[in-house]
Amino acid sequence: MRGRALIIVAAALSACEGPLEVFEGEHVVVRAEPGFDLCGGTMAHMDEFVARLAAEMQQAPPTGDERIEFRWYPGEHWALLPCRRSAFGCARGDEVFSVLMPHNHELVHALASERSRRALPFFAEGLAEGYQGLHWQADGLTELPLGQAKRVQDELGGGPAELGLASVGFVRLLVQQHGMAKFLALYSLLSRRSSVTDVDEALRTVLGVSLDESIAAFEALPADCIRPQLDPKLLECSAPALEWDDSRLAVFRMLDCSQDDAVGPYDGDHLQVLHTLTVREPGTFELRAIAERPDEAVSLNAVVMTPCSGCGGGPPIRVLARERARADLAAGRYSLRWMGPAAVPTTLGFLLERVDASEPGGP
Amino acid sequence: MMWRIRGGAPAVLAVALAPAACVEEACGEGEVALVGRRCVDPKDLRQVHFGVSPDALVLADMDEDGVPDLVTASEKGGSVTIVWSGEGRRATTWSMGPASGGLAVADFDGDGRRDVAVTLPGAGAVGVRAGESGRSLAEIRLVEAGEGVTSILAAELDGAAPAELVTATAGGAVRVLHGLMAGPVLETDAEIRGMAAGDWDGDGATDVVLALPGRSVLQVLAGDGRGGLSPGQSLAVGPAPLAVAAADLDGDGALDLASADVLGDTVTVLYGDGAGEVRERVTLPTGPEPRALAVVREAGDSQALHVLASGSSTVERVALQAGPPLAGASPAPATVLAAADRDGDGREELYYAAPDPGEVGALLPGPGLSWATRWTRADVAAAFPIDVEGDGQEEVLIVPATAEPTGELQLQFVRGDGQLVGSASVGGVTGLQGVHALDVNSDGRMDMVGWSGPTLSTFLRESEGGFRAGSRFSAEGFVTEAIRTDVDGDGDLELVLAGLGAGQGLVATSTVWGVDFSTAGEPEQVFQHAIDGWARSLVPWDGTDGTLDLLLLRAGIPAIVDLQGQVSTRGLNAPGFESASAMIRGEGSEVFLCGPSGVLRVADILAAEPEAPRRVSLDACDALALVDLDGDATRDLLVQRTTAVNDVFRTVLTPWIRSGDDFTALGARGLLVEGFGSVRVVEVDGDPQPELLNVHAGTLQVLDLAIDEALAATPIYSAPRSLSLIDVDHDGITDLLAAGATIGVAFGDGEGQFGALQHQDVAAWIPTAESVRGVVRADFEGDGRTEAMLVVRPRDRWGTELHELTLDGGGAPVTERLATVAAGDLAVWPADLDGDHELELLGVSGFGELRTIRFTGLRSRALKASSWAPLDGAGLLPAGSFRLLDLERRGVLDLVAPSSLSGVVVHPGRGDGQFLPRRVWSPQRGLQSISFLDFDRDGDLELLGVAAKRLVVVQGPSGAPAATLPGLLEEVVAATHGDLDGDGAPEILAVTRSAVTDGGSTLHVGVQPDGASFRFTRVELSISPPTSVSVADLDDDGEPEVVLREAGHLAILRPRSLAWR
Repeated sequence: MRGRALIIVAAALSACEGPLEVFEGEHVVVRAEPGFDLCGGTMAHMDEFVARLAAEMQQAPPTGDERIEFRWYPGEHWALLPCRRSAFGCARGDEVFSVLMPHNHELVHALASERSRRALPFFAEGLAEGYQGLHWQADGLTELPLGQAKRVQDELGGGPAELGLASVGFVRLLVQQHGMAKFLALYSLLSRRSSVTDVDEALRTVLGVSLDESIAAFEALPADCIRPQLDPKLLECSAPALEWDDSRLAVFRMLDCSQDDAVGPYDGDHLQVLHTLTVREPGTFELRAIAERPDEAVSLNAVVMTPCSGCGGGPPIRVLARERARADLAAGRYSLRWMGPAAVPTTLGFLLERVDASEPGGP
Repeated sequence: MMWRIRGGAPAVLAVALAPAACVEEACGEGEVALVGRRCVDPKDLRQVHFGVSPDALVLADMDEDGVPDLVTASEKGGSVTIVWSGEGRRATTWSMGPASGGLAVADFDGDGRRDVAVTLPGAGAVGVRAGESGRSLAEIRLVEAGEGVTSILAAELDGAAPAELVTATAGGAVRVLHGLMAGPVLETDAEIRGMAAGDWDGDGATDVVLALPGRSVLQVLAGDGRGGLSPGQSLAVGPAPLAVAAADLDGDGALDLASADVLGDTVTVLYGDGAGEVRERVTLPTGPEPRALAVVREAGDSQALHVLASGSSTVERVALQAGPPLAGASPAPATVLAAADRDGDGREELYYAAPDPGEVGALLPGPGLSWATRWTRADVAAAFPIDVEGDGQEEVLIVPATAEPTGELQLQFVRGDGQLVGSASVGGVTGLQGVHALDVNSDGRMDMVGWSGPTLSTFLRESEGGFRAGSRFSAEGFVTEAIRTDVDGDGDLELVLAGLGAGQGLVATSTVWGVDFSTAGEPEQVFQHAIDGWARSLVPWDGTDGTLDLLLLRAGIPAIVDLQGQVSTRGLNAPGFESASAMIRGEGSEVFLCGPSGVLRVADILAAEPEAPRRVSLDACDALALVDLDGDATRDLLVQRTTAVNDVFRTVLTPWIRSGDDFTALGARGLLVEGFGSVRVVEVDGDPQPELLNVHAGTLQVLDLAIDEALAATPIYSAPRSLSLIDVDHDGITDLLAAGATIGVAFGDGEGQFGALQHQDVAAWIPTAESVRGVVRADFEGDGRTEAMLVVRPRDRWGTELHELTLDGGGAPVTERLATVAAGDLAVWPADLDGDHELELLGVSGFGELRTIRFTGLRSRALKASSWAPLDGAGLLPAGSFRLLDLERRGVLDLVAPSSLSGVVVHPGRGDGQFLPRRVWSPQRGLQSISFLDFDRDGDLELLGVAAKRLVVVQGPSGAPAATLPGLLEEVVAATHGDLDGDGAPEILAVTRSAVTDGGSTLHVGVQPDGASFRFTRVELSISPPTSVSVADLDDDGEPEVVLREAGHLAILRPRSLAWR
């Protein structure tokens, strides 16, 4: 029945869609509502994301006819999305439908559909939220705490996980403690109808631990561990590295959707450019951002610096254009993201400078 | 049909044959068939650019009178303007092209005259207008210079005339144009922002130095003396240099270089050794975001470096050598600097250009505002002045940004010298908007009351000096302001609060509360009074009957609130008070009003017949204070204006020194702020001169203010505010009339092009005028010719004047004042109000309480004004938002306006220039680009407009609620209607962003055949989407053109009629 419904939906879609613009990638094919453009680096971004995620999941990335089909409907076509009304997108097997571009969360679902098309929502959402990468809105960073044991049980026993509040941390814990292969075996074993008892049994069978033991381990994680830290940041922490002298980094560049390294436009007016930076010696740093932007620019320019070290590496540091911040940075690699509007070109300036911690900060 | 021809044979055959021999011409290749028999060629789009937003400035003697003229280019406006030296402040503007930034002036073609060149990145070219004799430039010539060319520099690279033109593209490609012929490309692969020329390496050949912000270096391109350049040294400077200057800054005979490092808030000076090496490098701090440099030759030929810190909109003289570190701000935020000796004293002056509002002026040494940091404090969320010691001397209350682990805030009370007086740990005080010291519980100790949102909190002083939380008062609204005053005359101070009530998206009501305190310190409401519009700027006032009244701004207009008995409000709106942002009390009954039109002084606000206010300042203002700035025991005005560019807020403070009833502006100064109203003028150190409190980026600065040697701005030229299409010289061809603080005409050629815009200070035409605020066009005389009437703001008086504009026999403009109106803000429409086929004028003025006035006698030019009549129920609609038309089809003109709150509202006319209270014609809100026409010829008018970028038609019979038809087009940016084919039925014209051409527009021409749904024809245009579209017969040939406008950019489409062959 479901297959027939899919065929009917597909037929209805093709009847209503009209001609779509096609963008071919190595692992993703985008069929876009006419009149909407991807930013210059978006196809390469999605291809790399799928490749790295597939490697993480120890499976071959889809190619050729097996590529993920991504239907991008940012305009009037949004009415054709076969998703829940409030959703920005969804995956139906290896097909993704979305108003966002890119939508890595759904790419995770699409790739994981090879393991199971009827996965337990708690684990499916935890996997997607946990691996989708960093949020693309500077002022909408979701810095969610792990949640509590009770929440895990509530979400396991209930309906679709609410933003994966606990599922993100729980899934990442299982992967970190037992490895991805075993987690995916667990993932494949469970289904939408699995009960809490079924989950407990599957955990014991596949991972050799009970649900209670897993929850206890989950509760023992640091309280300040938040979602951006949990995410392995497959792209963000392998992005092109910026060279600097460990003392001062000054960047001044245009941000334009047409540039080869610009990813977007997400919801229509956001782009980001990914880099990494390595701090060799820990210290206190001043961060400052400025922007040149036309009056009609909607979204703000910003720089977000996120430790790649995972939990304990500190929270992301977000500097909006016109702001300054002072932060203590541990040694290690950081994801550095330039953010700006996608609809109009802007210029972003960023300064990261080591300071003497005893000097007062200020304007 | 049959005729008889000679011979009697009927000419049927001839008649039958005739139609077959007469064929209608078809639209040509590339043309688009519009309505009727009209075709249009989208590529035949005549464009002119007359917007003036100066953002490039060079001083050069263009008319060879021995005095440098001010040459500006306007990227946004697409034009070049030369402000001529000499009397009359004359200027000429030439159309160049879209996004024409970058400016260079030199003799590029070797004819001995200076030429003007700008970059035209969209065309991949440089636009050059060669200088001609007198004050004339030749037609524009495009010289290829590479796609995205953004910077140009004039330099003598080969030691011989003509000068070369060095160009750079956004991608870092450099070219040298010799005789305006492009040479080979030198790739730098980096964005180039600034260029300068000079002999850096001492080999006698001119080198070029580039500022590369992406690499934080100055890149030398070594000249070979024959016009060639090759890559030289990369000289490290501060982070992200946006400007470079080359000059001998230390007088040692060797060229030095300076960079403005925008990310570092520094200037880096590289002292050269004359042989291409850096002898010494110096880094100096500047104000925030330095973006422009200029070198001014001072006395003794010393060179003084000046930098523009755009973050604070302040220019600073960099203290490299002897001489004071002067600083000053321009009234409009400047973006570029230049220097030249225009007064012939052998020393150069400093000049600035500001694009918004368009202004060019000088910054000269003179007395002005200065400040020095008294002390600073980090981790501050807010700071307020408060006399918590009750000794008549205010302290500073510091609210920290970081709370204690308990969640409480450790408030600190600090004296003016930075010494801590006391502290208090309090909870529940996040977001404090203001505080007052008040003995709430009558224990002889000053307590503190603070307000945040709807809550007034009390903090009771304890005997040991700390504070404890007291009771709270919850207002029904958001408290925005509070003052201490003795409301009930009992000798104790109470509080009067003002706050915002619940509106419908916009502020609809405010409330004023009176709050007293019991002996236990419990707050008690003593009155609550609702007021229409936003109530602010509370001033306690002794009533004539000995009771207390309250003077405040109600929707921007002064009003008095009687607080005794039945609290009531009465307006003091002498007709046409402009809406004010702030009001303060001066001496006696004097008040000062501050708003977008400047500062007004009202000598006696409560006089039964208030005399006309006097203008103190013409510059926009959003806050002001009365303080003794010069220590003469007289309170002067300190006027604040806050602007934001690139999300950065700055406040410029201008001192106006009082001498009797006269005020004189001194040099202004700017600083970075968090937002509007951030800066507080206080008195915390006991000396007569005030201080400033400013919290920015979490740091509190306490600044001592003084009048000292500074850089004081003198505006020289202000750009026109408006461009009107009107046949000024009545030759049947439409001209362009520019009006504002300058006024001028560009005469049309009948082909969709215009000559140069010749304009000058409006005072040259109208000696009493400060600016032209509007142009009214109509056939006043009923002779078929359209005349122009200017709505003028006088310079030295308050009010509005109406002047007729004509040309004398020699083509020179002549104006005649027809009327003076006691209204500061007047919108005027020509209309036949009484149906006698003679035009009158209707004026609407006021804000919050609109009134109308009618002028008759236009034909005879003996204008007679009626009395003012109220326009009841107009609410907060601006006077200029109305239009006059017979909406209700009663043969009488009605006043109609779109209201963002109520929809489309109409005040039905009475036929005598007065109007009935409004009613809602359509609930459709958010309409723009509205026009009315009878599409379906049913005798009723429909409204065509754009709502949420959707083209809509609103229709309905008279008297019945109008209904909105489903949207006709999406993503519409402009719309209008017009009869393009002359068939008497109007077509819709709408413009959308092009889905075909990147950055282009699409014109949609819609017809409604036989009452069916609309059918649109599309025309793709290679221009960026305009803000308005209109239909006009510009050349009086009976065939209308389509005019697409965005500010000073006009694009004219000329449909042609098909011929019969």
